[in-house]
Amino acid sequence: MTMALLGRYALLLASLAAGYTVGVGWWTNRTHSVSLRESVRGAAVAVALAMTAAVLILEYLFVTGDYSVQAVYNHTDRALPILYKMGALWGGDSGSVLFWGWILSLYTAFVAWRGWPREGQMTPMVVPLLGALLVFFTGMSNLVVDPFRLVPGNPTNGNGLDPLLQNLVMTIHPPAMYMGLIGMAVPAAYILSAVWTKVPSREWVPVVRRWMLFAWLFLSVAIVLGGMWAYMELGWGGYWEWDPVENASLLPWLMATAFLHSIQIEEKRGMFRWWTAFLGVGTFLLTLVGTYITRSGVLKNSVHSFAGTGVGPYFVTLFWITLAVSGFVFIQRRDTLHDRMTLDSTLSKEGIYLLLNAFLTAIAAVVLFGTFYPIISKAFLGTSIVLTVYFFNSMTAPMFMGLIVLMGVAPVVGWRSAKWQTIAKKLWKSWGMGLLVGGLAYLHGYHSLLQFLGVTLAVFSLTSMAQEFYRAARLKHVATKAGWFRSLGEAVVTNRRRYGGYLAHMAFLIIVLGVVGSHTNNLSITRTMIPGQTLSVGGYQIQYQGLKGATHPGYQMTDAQFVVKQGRTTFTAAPGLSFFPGSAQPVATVAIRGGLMKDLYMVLEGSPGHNQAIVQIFVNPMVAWIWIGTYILAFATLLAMGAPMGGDAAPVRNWEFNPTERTPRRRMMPAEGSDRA
Amino acid sequence: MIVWSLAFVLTCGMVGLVYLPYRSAKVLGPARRSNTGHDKTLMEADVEHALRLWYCATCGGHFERLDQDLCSHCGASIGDGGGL
Repeated sequence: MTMALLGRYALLLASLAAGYTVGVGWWTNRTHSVSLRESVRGAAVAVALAMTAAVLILEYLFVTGDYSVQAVYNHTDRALPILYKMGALWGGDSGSVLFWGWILSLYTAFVAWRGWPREGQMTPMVVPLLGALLVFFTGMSNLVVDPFRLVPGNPTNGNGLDPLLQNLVMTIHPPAMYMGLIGMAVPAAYILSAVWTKVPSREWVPVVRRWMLFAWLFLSVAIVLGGMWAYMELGWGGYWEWDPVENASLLPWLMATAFLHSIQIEEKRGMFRWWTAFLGVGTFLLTLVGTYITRSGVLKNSVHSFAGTGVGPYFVTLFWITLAVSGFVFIQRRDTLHDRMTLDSTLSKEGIYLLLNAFLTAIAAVVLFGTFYPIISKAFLGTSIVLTVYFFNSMTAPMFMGLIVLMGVAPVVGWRSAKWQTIAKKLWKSWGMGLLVGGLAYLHGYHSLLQFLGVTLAVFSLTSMAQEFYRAARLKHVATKAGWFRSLGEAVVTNRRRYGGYLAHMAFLIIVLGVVGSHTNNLSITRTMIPGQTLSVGGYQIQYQGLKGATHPGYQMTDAQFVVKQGRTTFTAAPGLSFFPGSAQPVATVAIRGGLMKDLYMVLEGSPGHNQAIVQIFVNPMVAWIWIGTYILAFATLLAMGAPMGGDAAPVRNWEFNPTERTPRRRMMPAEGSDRA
Repeated sequence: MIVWSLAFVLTCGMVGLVYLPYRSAKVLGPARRSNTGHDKTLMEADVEHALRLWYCATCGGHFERLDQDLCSHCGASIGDGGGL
């Protein structure tokens, strides 16, 4: 028996155990047998054990270079550094499906092991549902994309990893993406179980919210890491192109964001119940749509090089089955999805959240339509039309502007109803600051309507958020007489959920400012330079020194050497071209000198000979704000997730005890998390 | 030989994880309680939860009962605006 065969055996065991969690789990839900229920818990952990064994075996084959295995032969070679050899696991479809199934098995084991005693009513049904997905993934690995398939002969070296994937960011981006995408299966399974078993929303809402927040964090970070990789590796000076594969990850993110806001209204006011449940399940359905887009190769206009290996139709089948099951559950249990409360006034926190949901869903609909337009146009017009960046920008930008305004207004609007006068009184300083900074930005070249409005509205919302932190610190400062920083820290720590949320909004607004800034006053020139020549671009004095060749393990590189002066600072830059054996096109190595307000971005295009270099130079303003915003976003999400679970639970409302009452008689304020507002 | 041993260990681990909990099953969580007791406990927990998470909008004081009309800390009438 070889290691590859052992891997196949582990996959077979995983399939059997997954089938056991589904079959016996379903039977347990009918018979309520305690012994069988405990056995299903064990089986869920057993699937994770077998999948972990399969992944470790494949990693062992990658690292030791067993090129008789097709996945190893196709995606590694001897010269590849060990980190990229390990990362080659998700370089192809077979490894990706295995990796995806492995993460799902870990989630399922965690749910079964930790969740069962605490979420006693839901988990016996959640585990078989997740088990059904595990049957799908292990089945795919066993029958369709076997990661342990052997190649004929006994090759002594492999084809190597795609040079574009040989990047540190690219070793982190796919795992983060998978953690996020497949993580959304867990809240969907909880929602379906809760709706089917008629578990009160106060029990499932805190659990589902936390799982979705966890998956959303990974997906958010993964999307930005994808942009970071494109910026560092592809050499076109940008980070987002509305590519179908990029859109595939954005779609579930938009739905999950809408869900995370909608669930708060369900939690606090017992409203948007069916909509929240629909969004939770819909997010997972969109991850399947995204996987289909990414893996099927159905959209030919993607710059991403995912080759179609025939997994697409299986994911489409899974999508339709999940949709049918979800539809059946929602229709059968429609009586449990009625709202307990109605919207008292549009001008209220609930109304703002409703608008916010409408914008996010509308953006998702536009992105979905635009992404599939080549197929739609082919079907109805006879020709495949690809919609450009212009379509996506002009359709989504106004809605994003609306979202930004709502983010600034929402904190000061009360529950149930609010008055325009009160809101205006609380927000005039924020509007003033927004207009002031917007005006200054206009003088500095932010002339188009979108640029001006983008800065004005983002600064308005940022100031509004900052005011919330100020109010919290001030209240604490007045009450405890402690220092301002300590007061702020205590206020935030004692209400992590609320201020984690506000900080996440601020991080998003910083990203928005980065996006607007990077599309304003940017420069791009292409020049053929001779050694000794100096060029002045955007405040940089760039002197070309000459070409320099170097041999690295597995590839050869030619660098163009530059000395750059920026004010009193002098530094070197060396954009290059890497030549990989077996790759027809050289791969550009971009030289980036990052700064808070602007990046110098240099790409070597080629050389006409005589030590000359054709170089493209970009000056990209404020790109760093996008990365900084992402770091803050990750921190803020962790902060919000760190709120204690008990205080995180939905407040039980008095109308829960008297369902016929339309509005609560007493006027009490809901505390956010475990604390006071 | 090592591979066979690994396969054996993996099989034993899998079978053990499925079979041993079946053998030594013990009732966990709410299922141990009777339905009536369970509901009562849940209701008490609900009320405790409500009292912990809701508070007077005027002074921030927590409520002591769900049916009180005046805040026991500042005396504000809860049914009359309560500082919202």
